[in-house]
Amino acid sequence: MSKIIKLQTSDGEIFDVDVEVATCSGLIKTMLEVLGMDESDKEIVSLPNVSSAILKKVLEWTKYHKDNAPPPELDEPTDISSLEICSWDYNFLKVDQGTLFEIILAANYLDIKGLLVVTCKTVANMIKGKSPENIRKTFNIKSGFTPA
Amino acid sequence: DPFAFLPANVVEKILSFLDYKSLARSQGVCRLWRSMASNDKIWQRLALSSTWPFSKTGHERQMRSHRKEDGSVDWKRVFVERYKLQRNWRRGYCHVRTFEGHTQAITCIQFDGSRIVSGSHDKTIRVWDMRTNSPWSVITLCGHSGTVRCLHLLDNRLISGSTDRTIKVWDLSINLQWSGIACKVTMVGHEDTVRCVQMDEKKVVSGSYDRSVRVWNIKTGNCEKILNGHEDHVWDLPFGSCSKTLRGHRDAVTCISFDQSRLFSGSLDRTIKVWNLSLGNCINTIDWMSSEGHTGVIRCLQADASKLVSAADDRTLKVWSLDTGQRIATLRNHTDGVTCLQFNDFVIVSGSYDRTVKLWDFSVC
Repeated sequence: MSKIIKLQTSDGEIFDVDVEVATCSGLIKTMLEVLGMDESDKEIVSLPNVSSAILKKVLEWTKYHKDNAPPPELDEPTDISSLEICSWDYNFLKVDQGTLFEIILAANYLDIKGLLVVTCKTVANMIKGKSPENIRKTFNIKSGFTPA
Repeated sequence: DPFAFLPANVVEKILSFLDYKSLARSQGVCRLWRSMASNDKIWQRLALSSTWPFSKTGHERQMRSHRKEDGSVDWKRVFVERYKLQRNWRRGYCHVRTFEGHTQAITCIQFDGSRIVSGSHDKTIRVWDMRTNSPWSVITLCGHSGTVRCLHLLDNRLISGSTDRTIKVWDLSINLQWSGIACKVTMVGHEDTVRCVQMDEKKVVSGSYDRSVRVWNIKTGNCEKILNGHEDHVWDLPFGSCSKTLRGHRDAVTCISFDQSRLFSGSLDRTIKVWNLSLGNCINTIDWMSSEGHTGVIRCLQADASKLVSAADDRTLKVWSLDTGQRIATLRNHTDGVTCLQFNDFVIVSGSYDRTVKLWDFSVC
C-alpha cells in the first residue's frame, strides 16, 4: 500500500492524499525531501494559501492525470503556443473565472507545472482574437486609459 | 481584473500563449495590461520563433540598432521590424533605388552595410554609398583593361577578376585625412577570363575560363595552387572541395549557392535545380512551365535559410520560398536582363545589362 500524506488547507480541513499524487506538486515534493519520507506520515503539511474547495479540484486533476494521461511534459517548451488542451482538461476547467484564477494561484503556489500550463492556456484562449473592448468585458475591467 | 492579483510569472505565462495579434490587442485594454504585455521576454520569444529565421549578421545588426537607453534590447521593436520585413518580402513590397553611372552593362555586384560595389563591361569598378540619396557613384576604380567579371568585398578589401586575365586586390579604406584607395596587388597567371573570385584573410581562390581553379596568396599575389578537373569554363565558385559531380542540367550551369545540406544551381537551360548534397540527387526543378519560373537564362541566384532569390535574362528577379518551393514574388524594374544579385535580410542589390545598379529595400515600406 502506498503512503498517505495529510494536507491541511487554509480553512482547516485535512485531506489524506496518496504520496504519489501529492508529489506532482513541486512544493510538497521539496517539503518531503527536506523533511524525509518516514516522518511525513505523522506530520500534517499545511497549505495556508489553498482553500479546500480548490484543493479538491487540484487533487481531482492530479489523480486523473496520474491514472489516465500523463500531464503534458513541458519544462521550457519550445513551441508552447501549439499545445492542445485535452478534452478532459477542457471540461474540467469549465468553471467560473474566480475558481479558474484560484486554481491558477494554487497550481502556481503548489508548483504543479502541467496544471499551471493548461490553466494559463485556458486564460490565453479567453483573450485570443478579442478586441480590447471585449477583453475588458470578459474580465470585467473598468478603466481603459483614463487618468490614474 | 485577473492581472492585478495574479503573480507576475503567471501573467507572463498566460501572455506567452498569445499570438502577436492578441498580444498587441492586449496592450489596448488598460494601463496594467499595457505594461504587462510589453514584457521583453515574450516579444523576444516571438521574434526568435518566427517562421522566417534571420541570418546571424541580420540578427546582430538588429541587436545593435534596437538598444534601449539602459542597454537592453527592445524586443518588441525587433519583432515589429522582422514582422514587417517578412510581410514585405512575401508581398514583394520594396522601395527601389537606381544607381546610374556605368556606361555599359553591369556584370557583378557586392555590398556591405554602407556600400555597393559594381563591376562592368566598361572596365571600371564603381563604389556607391547606400546611406546617402545620391544616385551617383562615390569612387570609380580604373585599372582593368577588360570587362570586370567578378568581385568579392570583405571589410575594406575588394578583389576583382577580369577578362584581361588578371585579379586585382583593392583597399577601400577611407578616413577624413587620407584615403587608401588603391590597387594593392595584381595577380597574373590565368590564361583566360577570370570568371569568379572569393577570398578570406589569407588567400584568394579564382575560377577561370581556362578551366582551372587557382589559389593565390593575398599579400604577395603569388599563385600557390592550380586545380584542374573541369572540362569547360568555370563559372561560379564558393569555397569548398570537389566531392561529387552533380549532373542534370541540360546546359551550362551559371550560378550556384549552397548551405550544409542543399545546393541550388541556375543554368542556361532556364531552370533552377535544388540538390541534396549528402545524397547527390536532384530534389526539385523550378522551370517556367510548372512553377512560374524564369523565361530567360538564369544569371545569378542566392539562398539563405528560408528563401532563394534568382535573377535572369527575362528582366526579373524572383523570390522563392524554400519550404514550399513556391514563388513568393517577382520583382520587375530593370529594363534589361539582370546579371547579378546579392541580398541580406533587408535588401536585394542587383545589376543589369541596362547599366544600372538597383537597391530593392524591403525595410522602408
